[in-house]
Amino acid sequence: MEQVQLDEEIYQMVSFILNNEEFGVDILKVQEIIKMVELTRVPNAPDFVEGVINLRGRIVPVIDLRKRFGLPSGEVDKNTRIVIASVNDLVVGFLVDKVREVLRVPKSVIEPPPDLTTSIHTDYITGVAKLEDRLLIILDLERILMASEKQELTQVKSESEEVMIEN
Amino acid sequence: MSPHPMFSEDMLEIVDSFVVETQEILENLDQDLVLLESQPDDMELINRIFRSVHTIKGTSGFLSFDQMSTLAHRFEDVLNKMRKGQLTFQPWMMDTLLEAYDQMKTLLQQVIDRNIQDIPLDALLSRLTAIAEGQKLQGPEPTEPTSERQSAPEEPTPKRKKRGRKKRRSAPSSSQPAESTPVQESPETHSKTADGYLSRGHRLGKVIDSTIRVDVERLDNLMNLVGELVLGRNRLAQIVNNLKSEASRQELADTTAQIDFITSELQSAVMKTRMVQIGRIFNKFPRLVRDLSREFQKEIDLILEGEETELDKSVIEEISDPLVHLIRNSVDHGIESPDERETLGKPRKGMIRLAAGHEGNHIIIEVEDDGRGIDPEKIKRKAIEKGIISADDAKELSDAEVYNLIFMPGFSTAQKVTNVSGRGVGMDVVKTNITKLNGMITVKSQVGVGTTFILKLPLTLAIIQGLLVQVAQEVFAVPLSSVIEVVRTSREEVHTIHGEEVIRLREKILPLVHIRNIYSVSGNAQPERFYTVVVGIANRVFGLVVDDLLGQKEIVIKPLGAYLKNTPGIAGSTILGDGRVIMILDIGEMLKLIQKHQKGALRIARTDFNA
Repeated sequence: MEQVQLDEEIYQMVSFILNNEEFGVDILKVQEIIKMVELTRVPNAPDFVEGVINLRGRIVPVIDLRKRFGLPSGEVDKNTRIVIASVNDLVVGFLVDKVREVLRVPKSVIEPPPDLTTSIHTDYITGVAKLEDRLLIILDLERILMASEKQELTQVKSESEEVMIEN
Repeated sequence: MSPHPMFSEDMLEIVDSFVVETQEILENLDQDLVLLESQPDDMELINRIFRSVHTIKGTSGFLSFDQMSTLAHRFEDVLNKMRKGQLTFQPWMMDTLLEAYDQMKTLLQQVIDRNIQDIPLDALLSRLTAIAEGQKLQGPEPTEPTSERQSAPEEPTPKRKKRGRKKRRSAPSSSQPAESTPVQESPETHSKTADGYLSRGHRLGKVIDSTIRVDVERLDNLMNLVGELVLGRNRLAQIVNNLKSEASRQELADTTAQIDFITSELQSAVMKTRMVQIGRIFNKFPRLVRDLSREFQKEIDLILEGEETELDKSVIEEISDPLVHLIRNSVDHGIESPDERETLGKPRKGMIRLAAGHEGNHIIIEVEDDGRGIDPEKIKRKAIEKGIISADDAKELSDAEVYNLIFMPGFSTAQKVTNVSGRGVGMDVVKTNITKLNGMITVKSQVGVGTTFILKLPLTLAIIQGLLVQVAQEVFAVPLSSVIEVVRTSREEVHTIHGEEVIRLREKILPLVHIRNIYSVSGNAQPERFYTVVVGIANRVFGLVVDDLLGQKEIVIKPLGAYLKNTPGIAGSTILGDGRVIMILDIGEMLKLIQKHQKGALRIARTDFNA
């Protein structure tokens, strides 16, 4: 289906579904994909942190991408997956509705993020790939993590204040 | 300034080991120099100092750290003459020698910082040369000892500084660790303490032969692996419980028992590699007390006990600062001036005792002085003045509660601000560090008799005993080092004071903290009968309300990782035998979460529960 010149740069992407939209992340950042497992809640953490999991003895935080992007929350079903990504030495899991496929995307079909084609803030998007039959939104995991770190800090602060007032 | 040639890639390892070695030498040198003041005739001591300085001269010269090498060289000249009997140590030389020591330390710090810059040394060097040549340094009037040793080359005077001599500490006598009375200055004492010191020196010599230097990172790594092993063992034990077939069960049980044994052995062996004698940080206190007593014109004996007590390196590093603050506090606020002491019928010379020892899985460190004690009334006045408590509050406070006030940020009763204490930060720092270590601090004091600070710290931070508690459907681990006791409580025992829930425990008021609220646990409501886990951290004691107790487990702290490390009230997580992850509660952090708004009971939570 893809008419690609041999010397053209090709990205390998893992694509997944979130709220009926298809997203892609660089395969080199994805460590593995696992089925839904039991999560342990982390009290006082930002609300998009769904909890932590025990990944072969390693504690890995799991972020609910729906909550992270402000999308309506979904149900966990048999398709729900955790995409374990390793970004700047940080291993984090992302909760997604369904993992679709691994695909090769030629650089030429990737366009800079348009303003209004998606429900997600363009800051978290590196581009949109126009595939033959559909669009693939390419996510910038670093930004998602970095920004959430900032947000986390402020949120943590306001949360602890909340706790104080409550009591 | 261009980088020093020694900081090139291939030299780094050599420079690093130079730093480690020199630091070690300087640590001991400090103590030896102070000792020299009281034992000027001790040839073994002079030889030891000479060898130390000689080594520094050699290694720094080899690495082209020229200033350090020159300084060590001149220093060595002086010591060499003393060693050969061509020069006799005089107390007035001590300031110059200590200055030389200080400057070597400064220069070493430059190497550590990778920033070599020449410092003005000429005056010091010429003084060292003068001493080596047997000249008596000429100066104006004999000056009072001052801490600004660098200021003037002519400062040390030929006059024997008797005061300085008197203020020397009594050397630690490790052969008699239980000795608790201040050692009086007398010739016998000299030889006795010297003997004690020497025997220690010899022992050290032997120990050195059987030790190697290991990068802490490697030990950490080893420790992590052992941690994994412990988790594996716990899982095996869990599987055994679930197995049905009797034969396979027995086989697995045997294997598990064996692994259990090996794991525990390995764990304790690895832990031991991380253990450091507390003497390593005690070493610097004689010098500190010497300098501080000069500054405050006080006469103080420092008694060290239990220097051989071992604790984890990570704990050692955190404990040093609080001890410095406590000792400064005792010198500045505790011990009275010699004249004042005489008037009070006390010996002119005050005593500070620094003692370490084990108690179960804890280490206890006591800092005791025989000074003026803490006057509760004075503290109350000050606290009211500073707006920390109201006059009404003050009336209700017990002495123990009043002592706690000195740990409040911004509190200081010093009449005048000095450069060591009285800035109102010291005790706050002490509390912060102790809290970080999951330790406790208790104060005992009697006006006119003295004050004792008692620190209780866990031996290690990597593998801890945890109490598993259940709240609704969630399980949490409470570090057992913070748990004082657990009591069964029913709803009707809970009272409300100033809007805060409290229970009565043996005639004392214990404020309650609901994990449900602090950690927003949803699900089942609080049962009618529950458990109150009495926890203590730093100088606070309060009760955690939990639904059920699930037992005590050895848990390996797994950090939540960079992404979640700032989560308030959570110290980390751990993995249970069945693979489940649970959160470890951070009692110190929890206190921060609740402290500010609970103005009533919790703020004055008592420390005397654990007494």
